[in-house]
Amino acid sequence: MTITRYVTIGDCVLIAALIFLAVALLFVLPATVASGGTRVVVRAGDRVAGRYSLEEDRRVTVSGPLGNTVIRIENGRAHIESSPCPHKFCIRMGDVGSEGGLLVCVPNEITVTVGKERADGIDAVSR
Amino acid sequence: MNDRMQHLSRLALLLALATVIHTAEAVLPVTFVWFRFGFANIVGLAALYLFGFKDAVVVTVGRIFLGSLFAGLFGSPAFLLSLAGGTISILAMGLVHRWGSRVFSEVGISVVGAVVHNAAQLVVAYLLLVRNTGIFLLLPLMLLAAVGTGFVNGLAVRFLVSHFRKAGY
Repeated sequence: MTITRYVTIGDCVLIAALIFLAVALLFVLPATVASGGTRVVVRAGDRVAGRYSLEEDRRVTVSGPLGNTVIRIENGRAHIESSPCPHKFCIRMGDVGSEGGLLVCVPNEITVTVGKERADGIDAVSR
Repeated sequence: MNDRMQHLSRLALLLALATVIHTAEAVLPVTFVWFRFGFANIVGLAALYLFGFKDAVVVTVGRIFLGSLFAGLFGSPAFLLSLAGGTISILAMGLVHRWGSRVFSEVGISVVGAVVHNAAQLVVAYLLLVRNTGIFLLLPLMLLAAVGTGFVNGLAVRFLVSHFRKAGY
């Protein structure tokens, strides 16, 4: 009684190849899939002023009715650095990282949305 | 005439068997076992060996429709995933059976079916439900699960088919 009584050589090769593929993917996938990263969407009024990656440090200047609002992305977090609005609530909102969130400057009509891009806030529904 | 009746009733029995297994599996809680074993596919693959490709498609697609009706999942995302996975996997198994049955036994074909089934489900889940590429992180796990369940089911098909053949099917 040998193993070939139940499976052929082709079966064994196929199974070994698939297990190898699965283990290889286990190491390769997280680096490629997950690095898509979190998006930062800047809107001025109802217009999208720009989309950026949270991973790249940069300074974005957007103009609104009152003047220029400066948004700073650094070390994987976004915050509003300077704003022409009277109360500076937007600056005091602090920073938002990959957990997702929203920064708003109402007087200057600027919003900064951080998070995976899906509008309705639902990941999935099953059953 | 007699032959056709006999064939029809045997096909009906296989479809009924597949439907029962499918329904039982559909109502299993997914809390502890996050994947399904796909035991219903044993019957579909056995039909492929005993009666050929057309009847295997009838058994597979038929049991998905009937089983989802009985489990109350008809038209739900779970049903769509079942349908997509089941259809593509029986097509793949038919192809491998047609062109590669010298290389692969029931076990190999069952593994191919299970892998294709899971891969198709992931793609459909991405297109219809999740829309987040992160879902493909599950691919390795689903591949491993498919190899395991495909192997077990393939052995079952082997025994089932040899039993049926002895019984004169």
